[in-house]
Amino acid sequence: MEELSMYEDGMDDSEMASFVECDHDCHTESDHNCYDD
Amino acid sequence: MFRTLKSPLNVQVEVTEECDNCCRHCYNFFRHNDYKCKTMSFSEIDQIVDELSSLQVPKVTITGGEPLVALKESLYLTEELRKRQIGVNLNSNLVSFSKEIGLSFKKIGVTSIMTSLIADVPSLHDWVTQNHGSWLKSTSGIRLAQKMGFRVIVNMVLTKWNFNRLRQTGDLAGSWGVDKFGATRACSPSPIALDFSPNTISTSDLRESIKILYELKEKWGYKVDVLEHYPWCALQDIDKYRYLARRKCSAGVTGATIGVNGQLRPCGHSTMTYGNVFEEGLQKTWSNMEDWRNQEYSKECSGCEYYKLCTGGCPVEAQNSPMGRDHHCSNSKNIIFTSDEKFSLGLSLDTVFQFSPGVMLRKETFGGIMVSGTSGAVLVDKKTFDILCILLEQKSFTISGILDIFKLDSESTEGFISKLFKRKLITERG
Repeated sequence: MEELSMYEDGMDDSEMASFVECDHDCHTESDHNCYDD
Repeated sequence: MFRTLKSPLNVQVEVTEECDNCCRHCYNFFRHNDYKCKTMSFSEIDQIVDELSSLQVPKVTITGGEPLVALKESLYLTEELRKRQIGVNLNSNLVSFSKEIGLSFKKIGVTSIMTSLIADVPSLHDWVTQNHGSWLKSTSGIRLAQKMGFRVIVNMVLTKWNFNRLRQTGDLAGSWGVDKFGATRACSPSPIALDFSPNTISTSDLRESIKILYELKEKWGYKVDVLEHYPWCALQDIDKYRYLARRKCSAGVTGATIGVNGQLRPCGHSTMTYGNVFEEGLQKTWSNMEDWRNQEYSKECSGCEYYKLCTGGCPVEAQNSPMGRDHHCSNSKNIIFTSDEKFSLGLSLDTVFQFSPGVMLRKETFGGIMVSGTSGAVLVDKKTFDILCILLEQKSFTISGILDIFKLDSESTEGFISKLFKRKLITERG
């Protein structure tokens, strides 16, 4: 059965995922949060 | 596999080089040079907005210099971006903030402001900003912005000059009821890096600052943050500081900075330029940053097992350092890190979901990105991208509906939808 696929950290082809998934650029801020803080 | 996006996901626009402060730690290279500062013209702003919009850039941070010094231009830029559904963050020292200015920004959809407070002690703050009376003006601006309903994030730039005031400054921010308090190390500004480096905090002070931040969080109940990428070996306990460790060096990978002259740089700290957006457009200049996507400037860390997740500290700091690496990088032996387990919120199969306002599906060579100006993002493969496009057309959907139509695996689909929900890309339909 097929699956919906998201590139994520730890996957072989996830090289971009850790950059993209969350707001994290220096000197930027928003109330969005991918992680529990 | 893929390191090149068609355009950045977050662009910082330096709308002006002018600032009413002259902070001794300022990372703007142009603030340490002896030349006349400039402000973007309205037609240049139009050009930038067109570029950002046509290339589907979801988020912009308006910065400077100090945006409020070029108030008309900053308001115009914000308004034009918001008309095109582009998310806007505003960075300001709030020195010249007033009720009238606040109302103008509120009217065009700005809801939060990130600002800077050097210390709880006025004289120390004013000495660092080299602007007598700036503490009183900035703190009045913070209180007024809060009163007007803005979400205010206060960041303290840490140097040896103010490190011992961290707890008291965090207490002051807590007594005001700020939403978030940050304490971020100063990096050495490029033009004066060697002279400035003795003023940067040590690695043990950096670790102490994180510890104090979390104690302040406990005491005041506000959120805490650092506004720059800290190397994982400086943070050490990634499981505990997962939220702070989320910041990577995204310069030239997902982020870039447009200077007042239209020059594209990988980030606000860097003096390196990759072409002029006014003359060559954003796509061409963005494509020139291959060296940043290849992490050419953090190679000293490339042997570390956490390199891909950490990204190896600040590359500009590394370029400015005689050691060739971020001075807070040490070694990986004390890093504590456990990979995320399979994620699921246990959502009901029949809950009706809808896409959050402003969510866009941006096509990329590997598939696409689902992102908005106020949410997280996910990267998906081509097949998933096509399914998401269909769901976006449908306006609303349920997990059971997806399973029926697309014949997908139940458990993994629930996990996938849970992640979209957590990143605020979809919401329950009310």
